[in-house]
Amino acid sequence: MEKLVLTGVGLVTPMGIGKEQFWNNIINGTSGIKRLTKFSTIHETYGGEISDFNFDVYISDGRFRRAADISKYTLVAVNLAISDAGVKTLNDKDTALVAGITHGALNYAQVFHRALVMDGADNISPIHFSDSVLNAPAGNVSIGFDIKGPVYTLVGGATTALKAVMLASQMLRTGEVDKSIVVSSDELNELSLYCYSRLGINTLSEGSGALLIEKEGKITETTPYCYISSTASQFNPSNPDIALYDVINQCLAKANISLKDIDLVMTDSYIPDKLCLNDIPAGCIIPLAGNAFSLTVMWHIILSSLAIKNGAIPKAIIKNKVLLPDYLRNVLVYSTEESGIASAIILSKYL
Amino acid sequence: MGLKNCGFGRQRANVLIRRVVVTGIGIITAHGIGRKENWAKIKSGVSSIKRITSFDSSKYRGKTGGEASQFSTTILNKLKGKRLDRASHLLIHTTREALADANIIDAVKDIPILLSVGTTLGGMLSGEIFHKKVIKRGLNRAKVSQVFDYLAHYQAIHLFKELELKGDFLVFSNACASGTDAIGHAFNSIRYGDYDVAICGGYDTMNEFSFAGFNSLMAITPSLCKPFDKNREGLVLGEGAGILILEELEHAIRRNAHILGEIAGYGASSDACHMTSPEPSGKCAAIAIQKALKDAGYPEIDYINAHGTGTKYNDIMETNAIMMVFGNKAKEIPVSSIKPMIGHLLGGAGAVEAIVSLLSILYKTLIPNINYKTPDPECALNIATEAMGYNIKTILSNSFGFGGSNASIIIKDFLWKN
Repeated sequence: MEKLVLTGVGLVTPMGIGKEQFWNNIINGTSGIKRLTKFSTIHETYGGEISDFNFDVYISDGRFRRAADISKYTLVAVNLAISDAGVKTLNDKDTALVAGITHGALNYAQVFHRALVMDGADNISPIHFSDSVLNAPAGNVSIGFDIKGPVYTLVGGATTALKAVMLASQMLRTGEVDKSIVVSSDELNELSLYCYSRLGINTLSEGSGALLIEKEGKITETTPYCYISSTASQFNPSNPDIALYDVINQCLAKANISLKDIDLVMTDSYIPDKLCLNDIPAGCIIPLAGNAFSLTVMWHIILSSLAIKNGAIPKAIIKNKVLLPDYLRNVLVYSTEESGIASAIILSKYL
Repeated sequence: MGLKNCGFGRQRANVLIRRVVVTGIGIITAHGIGRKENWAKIKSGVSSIKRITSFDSSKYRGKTGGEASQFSTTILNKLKGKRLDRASHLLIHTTREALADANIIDAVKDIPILLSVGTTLGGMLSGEIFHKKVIKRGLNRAKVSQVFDYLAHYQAIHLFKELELKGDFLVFSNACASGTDAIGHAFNSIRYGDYDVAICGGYDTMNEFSFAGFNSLMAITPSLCKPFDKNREGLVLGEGAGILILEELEHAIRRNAHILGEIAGYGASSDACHMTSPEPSGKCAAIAIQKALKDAGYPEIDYINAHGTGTKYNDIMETNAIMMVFGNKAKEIPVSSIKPMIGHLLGGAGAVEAIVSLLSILYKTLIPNINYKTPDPECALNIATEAMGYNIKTILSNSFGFGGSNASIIIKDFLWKN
């Protein structure tokens, strides 16, 4: 089966915009967590806020100036991923876009609700409605980059980024499209900050991460970061641990490798002892960037791709005390949700 | 016996394509609960559009909608005692009905199931309550649980828990194309061998947030919804859910399932034009239709179940797309929209319309496009205004949504020979 390769990455993160800034800050262990300035009503709250973000530097198209932050982050990340891959055109209907979203444009939804309740139906702005629909970020990207192939928005928790990669891969494998862009994005919102803090999740984040995936035989412009060895996903509400074991085992079997071939695990979740992953370096970006659910997992995928290409595991993200290997062949990225959803991907070095 | 020779599948570009059949349906709309009640009213051309009662619509341009007022809540077993959003109740109830219709409800716990559903709004009613409490009583008085019910994937989680399913789920939020895209994904996942059984469809609830939003865009009609009529003034919103059980053909045969029809093709495209207005020439919607036709092996289309919202721009665009794809034949193929009867179900629209289209094949009956009086030269299609017996074997159902999402699906009579 022809390999699916990652040829471009785009990042809008609290640790920098673009892969260079992001990677340098990861290597140096520079945190993107700071006191939030966006919400005047919230005091002493810390998170991964995107600051010093000048949208016009990256996107000159005036149609998106009033778009919600989440759409702006998405547009910039996709633009960076396309440029990174050296792609000049998106070949019209042969490109797909899959967005994996957890919350959507909550700030516009909040403004819309407030205006409706406080000011009445005659005083609401249509853009706060149309740009708060969950597929608005993907819709704006399709408009901005003239993508006429399938454009999907998947909604869900942290695993959604992995499911978006799986859907994009399915379209490539069946020959429906030549290129697939996968993107995850989120924006900070004061109501969600409050709600998650009540659940003990205190350091939230925002931004975007985008990937360009292509078939190996179709690439001409660039050397890929890595290829997708395997993916798996499962939902088992009655036994979440079983779901996680199953998806990891499925991934290893599909990739035709064993656990000893995994050099790095990236996860936003716990690592059950039974998995026997304790001797493998395990990384997580949340302490440096904050938690943005589906977006965090997308950042893990991108970080793994950068690490594979650079042949280096950034020490600052490693949670366990293990010796770091001086090579990187396969990275397992997985995520689980409390409800029993588990998804995983193995990314491998492209030779 | 080779797959290629026995009619169970076909080969394309080194990928084995299995046949996918529909073995169960579940439906709730303003017309009522279940297949029987819905079909009786659909074929009679009855409207269930009434003055909205779930919120005060007096301040809006339009005041009517298709509320599923016969439906309150479903019976919960595993989640007994939990206060779920209405969207979860709609999804759980229609899924149970579809599984029972497929006679698979007891076996479903032991089969890996793909749930592929579409919704535009998720648990928006919970979101509304939360926002109103925050605004009126402050953040500390609002319930955090309502925020989680608001998230659009929680209905799928609730369904899995209530029915004790195992497998995986995908929730598509592609505005009004969500339901059709969800069916399309389930179709692809079965035919390419990822799953043998899928629960797919879509749902959405009536709520003031979306009503006010569409009203602010001047998309809500102050009168009747009249798709393709020259005097059309906009859409009317509705609520409900539609769920289909899709199965790989051999799997369905092995368990002696009653096959209702076959999913033959699916296509999706994007306008890349505007967030709320369709690409006017229809050329991008035509891509989705053409892809679905190609996917199905270019069958003869006997009936088109139109997206047909009743807005000026959608209906012209859809006409253009149909004309572009079918040429002169477009004027012969009967076309109708069910939205004037039950409203626009947003994320549920594509699924409910796929079910109704399937019923039109099963009962060989054309569905009327009610409220159509004055032909529009810009929508010069063969609009079916009366229900009548008609030998429908293959249908095309279109869905188009915000953000330029286009999706088309082809459903046909099940015949042993592919």
